[in-house]
Amino acid sequence: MKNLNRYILVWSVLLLFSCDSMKTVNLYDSVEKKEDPFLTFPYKDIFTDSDKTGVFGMKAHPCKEIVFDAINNFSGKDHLHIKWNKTKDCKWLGFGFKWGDFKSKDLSPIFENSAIEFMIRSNAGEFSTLPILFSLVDYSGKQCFSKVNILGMEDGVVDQKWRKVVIPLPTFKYEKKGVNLSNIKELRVQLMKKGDFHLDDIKIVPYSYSYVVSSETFTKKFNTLPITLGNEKKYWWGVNENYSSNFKFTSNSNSINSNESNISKDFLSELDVFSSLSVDYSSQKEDKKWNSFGFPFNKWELADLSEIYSTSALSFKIISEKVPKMKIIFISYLGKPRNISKIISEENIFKIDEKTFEIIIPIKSVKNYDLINWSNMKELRFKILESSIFEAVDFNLVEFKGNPNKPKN
Amino acid sequence: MKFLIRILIVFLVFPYSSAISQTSKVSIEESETGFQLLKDNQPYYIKGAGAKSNFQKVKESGGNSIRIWSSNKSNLLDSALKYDLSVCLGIWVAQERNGFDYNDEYKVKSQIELIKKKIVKLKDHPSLILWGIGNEVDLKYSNFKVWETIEEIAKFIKKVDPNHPTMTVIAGLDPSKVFMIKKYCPSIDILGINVYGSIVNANINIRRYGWEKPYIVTEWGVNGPFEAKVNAWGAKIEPTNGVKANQRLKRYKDFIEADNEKCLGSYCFLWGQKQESTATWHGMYLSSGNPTEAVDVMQYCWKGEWPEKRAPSIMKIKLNGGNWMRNHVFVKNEEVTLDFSYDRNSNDSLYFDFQLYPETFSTKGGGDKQKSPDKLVFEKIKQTNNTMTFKVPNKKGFYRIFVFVKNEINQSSVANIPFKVESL
Repeated sequence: MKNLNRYILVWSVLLLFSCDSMKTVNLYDSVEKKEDPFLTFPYKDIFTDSDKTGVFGMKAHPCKEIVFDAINNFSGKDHLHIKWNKTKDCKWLGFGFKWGDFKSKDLSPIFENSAIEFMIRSNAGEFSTLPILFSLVDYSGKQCFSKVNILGMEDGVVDQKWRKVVIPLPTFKYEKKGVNLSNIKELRVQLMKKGDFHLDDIKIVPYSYSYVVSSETFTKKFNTLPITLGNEKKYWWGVNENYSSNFKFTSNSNSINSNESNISKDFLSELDVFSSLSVDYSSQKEDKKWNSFGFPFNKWELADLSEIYSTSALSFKIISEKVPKMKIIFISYLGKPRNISKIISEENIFKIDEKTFEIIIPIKSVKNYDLINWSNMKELRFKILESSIFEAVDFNLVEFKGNPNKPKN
Repeated sequence: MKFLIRILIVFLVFPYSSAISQTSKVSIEESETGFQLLKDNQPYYIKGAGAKSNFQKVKESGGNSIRIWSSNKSNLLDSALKYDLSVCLGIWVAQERNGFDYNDEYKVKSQIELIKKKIVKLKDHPSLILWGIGNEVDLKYSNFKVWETIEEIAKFIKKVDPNHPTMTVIAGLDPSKVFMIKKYCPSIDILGINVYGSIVNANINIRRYGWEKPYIVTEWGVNGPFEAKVNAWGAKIEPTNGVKANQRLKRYKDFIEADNEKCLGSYCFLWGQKQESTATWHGMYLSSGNPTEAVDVMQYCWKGEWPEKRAPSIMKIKLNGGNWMRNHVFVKNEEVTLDFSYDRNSNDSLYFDFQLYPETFSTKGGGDKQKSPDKLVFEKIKQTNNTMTFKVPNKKGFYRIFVFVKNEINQSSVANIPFKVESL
């Protein structure tokens, strides 16, 4: 019995100690509750009534009239009535809200999910745009702007009825303007053209802003050579047999029959590719102006060749008895000059066999090559300058590190 | 009482139904010979002017349509209706070159919503003939998303307004633009092309760049300042009104009228006045409101006959014997003689005026607003019927002297020549 008592005692003590070290365990991982920054933001009211919230810039002015109006308020004892006509003589028209008595406001925690909201009505007429700019001004005087647009208007309109409008805070592009969001002083209003409106109940409200500003550029950066050019028909221009037979796509050129390529013609056709461009141009024919063709570097989007252009050359083959006189033009989307050009000369021609020539044009041999904007290249254009019959094929941008003026060496 | 209610209903409904009944049904017909615009099932070749005023003169000169660039001044539609002119109504689409960011979804969406609202408001206007969605949004651009906006607007028009074709207007022809519009904007029916010097290749380019639908020459005239030669100090050389008038006539005959397969007509630029490098470059009117000989030319183009009374025509202008293409450099206060030769065009009485302005050197393009310089006071020493001797300013700088000649009904011609004043 004694033993039993001891046994019970030991177990009781053990149990007691173990109870002491027992802890509550949650069934699920705990989620730390974040406090909504909007709830703790102390400066939600920007303008409610004249005696509660301050407005500056109300002095009499020949081009504007800003008064507290007590008739037909949206709420409270009065509202703002703003009336202006920005003629040539009045340079800047506006006013502002002291907003929390000019205390420094940190908008950064609430910026992404808040908006300025207010009530507005016009004195006359219906508006889908307002000639009013709003700016957040920081303590260094820097300001970023936004305005009311149709998406922020109740029913897409401002008229004589009190309407709610919102300006989402993310529409203020503060980064671009270098505005310090954590040290905002005031909200300023700039008046453009002319207007006559009533404003009331201006405040910061929670707002779910779902729009994005993407960084898409339509630019493809090319870092390595070679680059195959003009291999898809749909991007070419200048080849239209309905109007001229000077240029034709062909899939039975000498080049395709040679050992250089083992791709079947049918396969090429399916891929919207072709083997060569067949040219039969006469400066005597009626369609003599139909003397150019071209294709883009990058599907008519922008090609950034800035990393490689200086060590590259345009290369293609001419199948003919002789190489025709031809001008090659490199065109950029932006910048000045917009294009640079070169007429093929003797040093650019390499004879491969009796009827095949390789043309190599080092970029550095093209006049003003360093002035064109190689980050935004658009197209390559070819202009035939004399009567000629030939095939052109295998357009590439290839590596070239030799003497640009003597590529043969 | 019932009778009164009926009368009230008739009065309320009548104006609305009247406007609806006048809405034109405009379509494009394609045949073996090409494209044709049909207005209420009748062939309608556009003889148009880019204009915001002087509509009566468009009508009198044989024009039938005007083009406006935005829908902000919808009263212009009513004015056009008064003169039985149709309107190519521009829907202003923001341009990247003026700061619009097509990567900003909020801005893009709000622009589209605003435009949709305007379309709904104006779609049944009786003078509307077609929609011009955007003007030169492609100029100096690199964000091709703008074409998605153009398509969304065009698609919306197709949905709410089956009566009027859609067009987008580009700054000059280019294979990349044609490719983009074909790829992104299948709801565009007509390509509008603003072509000045490049009008001479427009017919062939529209075909070799692969545009398969019809087109309208939405702005054309003389070569623009952006295409002009500049002198040693960068002042643009503007041809005389006479030279420009001849150029307009040739361009209309050779390049617009000649393309009866794909071209549905044209809008000359500009049936009015604006500052674009100079106050007289594109305007077919002067800032005084006087019409120039370009207006006569358009009557000849549209009606096939010259007006009974024609404007005089200045063909040549010289400074101290040197022609308008030269660099004219003088010293302060130097006496200089301006020579000008003109065709009287059977006018008995002609009146001359001379004006001096500082050079502007504007680098703006695409029709963006430019500030007009203020007129300068200068000393005129002597004047004959084709010369004027004057003292150049007593201040170093770049100037431009203008000569205006008009007849008794204010039909005018103008020419100018830039010069530079240096110290001794």
